[in-house]
Amino acid sequence: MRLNIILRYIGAVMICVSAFMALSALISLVNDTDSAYYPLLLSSLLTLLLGIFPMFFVPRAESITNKEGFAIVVGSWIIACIVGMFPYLIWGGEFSLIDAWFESVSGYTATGASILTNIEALPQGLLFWRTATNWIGGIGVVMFALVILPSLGTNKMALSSVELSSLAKDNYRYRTQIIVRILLVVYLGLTAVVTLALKLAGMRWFDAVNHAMSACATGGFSTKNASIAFYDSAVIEIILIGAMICASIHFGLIYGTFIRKANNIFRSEVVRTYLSIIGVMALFIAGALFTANLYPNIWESLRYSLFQVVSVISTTGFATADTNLWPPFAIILLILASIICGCAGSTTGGIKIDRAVLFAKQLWVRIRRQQHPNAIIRIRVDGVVQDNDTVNTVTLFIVTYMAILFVATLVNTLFGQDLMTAFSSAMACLGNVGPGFGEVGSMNNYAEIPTILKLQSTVLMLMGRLEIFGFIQLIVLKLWR
Amino acid sequence: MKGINKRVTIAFISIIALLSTAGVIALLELNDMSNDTQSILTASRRNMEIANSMLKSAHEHSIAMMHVVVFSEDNYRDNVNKAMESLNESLDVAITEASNVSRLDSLVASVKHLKRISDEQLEKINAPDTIIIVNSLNTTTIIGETEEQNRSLNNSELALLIEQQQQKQATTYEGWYDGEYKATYDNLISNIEGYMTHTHSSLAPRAEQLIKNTHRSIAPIFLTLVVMIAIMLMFYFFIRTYCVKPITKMNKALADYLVYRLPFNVKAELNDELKEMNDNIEILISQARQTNKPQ
Repeated sequence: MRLNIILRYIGAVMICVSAFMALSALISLVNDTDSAYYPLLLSSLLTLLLGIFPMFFVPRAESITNKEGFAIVVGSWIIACIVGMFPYLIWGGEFSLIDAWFESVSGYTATGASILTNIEALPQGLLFWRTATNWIGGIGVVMFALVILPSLGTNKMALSSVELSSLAKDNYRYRTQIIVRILLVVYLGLTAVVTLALKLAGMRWFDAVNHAMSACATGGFSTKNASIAFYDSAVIEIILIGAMICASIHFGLIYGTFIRKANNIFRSEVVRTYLSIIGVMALFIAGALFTANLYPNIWESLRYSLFQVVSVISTTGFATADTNLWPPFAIILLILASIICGCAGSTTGGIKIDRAVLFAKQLWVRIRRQQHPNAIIRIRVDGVVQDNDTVNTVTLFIVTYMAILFVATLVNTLFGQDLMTAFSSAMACLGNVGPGFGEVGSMNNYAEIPTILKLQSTVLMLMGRLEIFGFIQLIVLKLWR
Repeated sequence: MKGINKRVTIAFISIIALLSTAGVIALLELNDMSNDTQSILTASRRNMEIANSMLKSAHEHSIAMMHVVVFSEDNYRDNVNKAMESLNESLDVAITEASNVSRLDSLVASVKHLKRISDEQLEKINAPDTIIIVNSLNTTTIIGETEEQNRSLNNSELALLIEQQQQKQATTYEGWYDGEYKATYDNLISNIEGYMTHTHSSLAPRAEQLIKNTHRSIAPIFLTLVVMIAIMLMFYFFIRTYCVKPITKMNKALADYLVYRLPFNVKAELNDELKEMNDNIEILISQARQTNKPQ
């Protein structure tokens, strides 16, 4: 494994990150040179130097091995999170070392959990940087670099194959080089459309851009303390519901829909299942809210239930209501939504609906095989036969996911958290959802949780974003020969 | 400039540029901090001066009023007026320099109230209830508000009356001084203290800003230090990989050729000065071989 090559490619990613820091500094400059200007400027320069330094010495590699590709991707994520702390650390305020690390990891992994008790006290430059970490991390740190930086050359395939899960690749059916372009086109296009729509709905430009970026990344960082509840606007909520649903659907299918390919969102079994789950959950929760007299009529109940269901299942984490006050039935359904989450090939986290569908089909096939032991029954998703390896990997993933969730909950309770907070914070971090329930509810934050648990939460966030096995590989990298 | 020379030069220039930038940013934040500290100290000192001046004027007014009202020493009237003028001047200065004038309303009201009751009392002292006229025959005529009071009295009755009148007057004025005036004075002092305290409490958020500025001037230096350590480690790694190792390889290969006549077989990775040196050595060796070939 060539360390110099790894450093070079990580450096290329850092250049990307530094560009966003510079953009945030520009926003500070435009905003009367607010207090975040110098922190962002210096952070940008530090990151640029860290990124460009290896490129002075290391020439481009003809090819990179899978192991090196993997090390580049995971290394990029971790170093991006470290340099992402710089503006927070220099600015100070509520950000201690651990809190800056937490906020940076939460941003890049598009979790959206925050330690800030007063988001609106942050200067605009720093608010934009928070959202930018969401936006970069939503699509993937390396993916961003792959499109923007020509220096990564022909190694795009090796690098993208690590960050793009196998489930996600199924629905692309394009060459890798085009996949990367599709991702960015859909991502940018969606962000632009949502920004415009939010502006027309009454948000200021700055808030519209930030919320659009955050929604498309399914991150959930808002510029307001009360999140979307601040606006109290059904129009804004509808726009964001649309954005979050689009951002949690496979981008290849969205692209296919626009260019009228057969492979589109209407014909996808996974998308149909996903949308059905959203609809059914929203209706059930609305019924529960109406029965509990929390809202004056069924339409208000449906409004809030639909938004929260979409926000949670897409792992965005925006809030229009304090879900802690909702009846237990609604909370349980939201917990289920937080675990299943959106589609592979989107910016969403969690187990993913594709795996849930595959798992359910596997269960059904198992039952059928008991009935007909000699029958050959294939598992198909969207008409495509799934091989045993894929099916077994899915099962293994779900079991590992649950095991990690259980262990994390246990650790949380060890440090004094009540059961609801312990479980929901573990679930919210591992699934990159953001808000949980209890002390880390939709209208709360992670400020008061113990430092050791904040560190654990960041590990869970990275695990979730790197699809667990990616993170575990990092620990056993030396065994990879 | 090419190859290693170029890389090393650019690397060092970048490091120096970054260190300079970090230093400039730290200096700018320090400058902000210094300005904030200066303004806090200036505001605090000014505030103390004005409050002190008001307290002094109020005290002088109180003493002068006591002399006039209780001890009937009319020559202290000028002192009363001067003290009140001085108090009003200090108040005007406080109003001019205040960032939020409405916070001084109670202080202004208490000064005005003090002035009003003082002026009223001084007027009362000017116009007593009765006038005693002593004629050339040592008899007195008292001119009072009613006919009954207009009568002639002998000296002993007069002396008694004067004594009674003076006692009555002293009791009334002393009572007023101890009662109404003191209450108003105490209220004024309390408002002056409130003015002093309020300005100090408004210094608290500015002091918080000071703490933030201090953090922002020190944090860049620490962070730059950490990044510099990382860059130095990378620099060490790259110099070893692209300079030291190739030179060591070439040196060993050359030594092997000189001692054991082993072929000089070193492949240069980069197209730089080391590759040139490698090629030159290969040329030298092949020329030496040709020279040593038997004819």
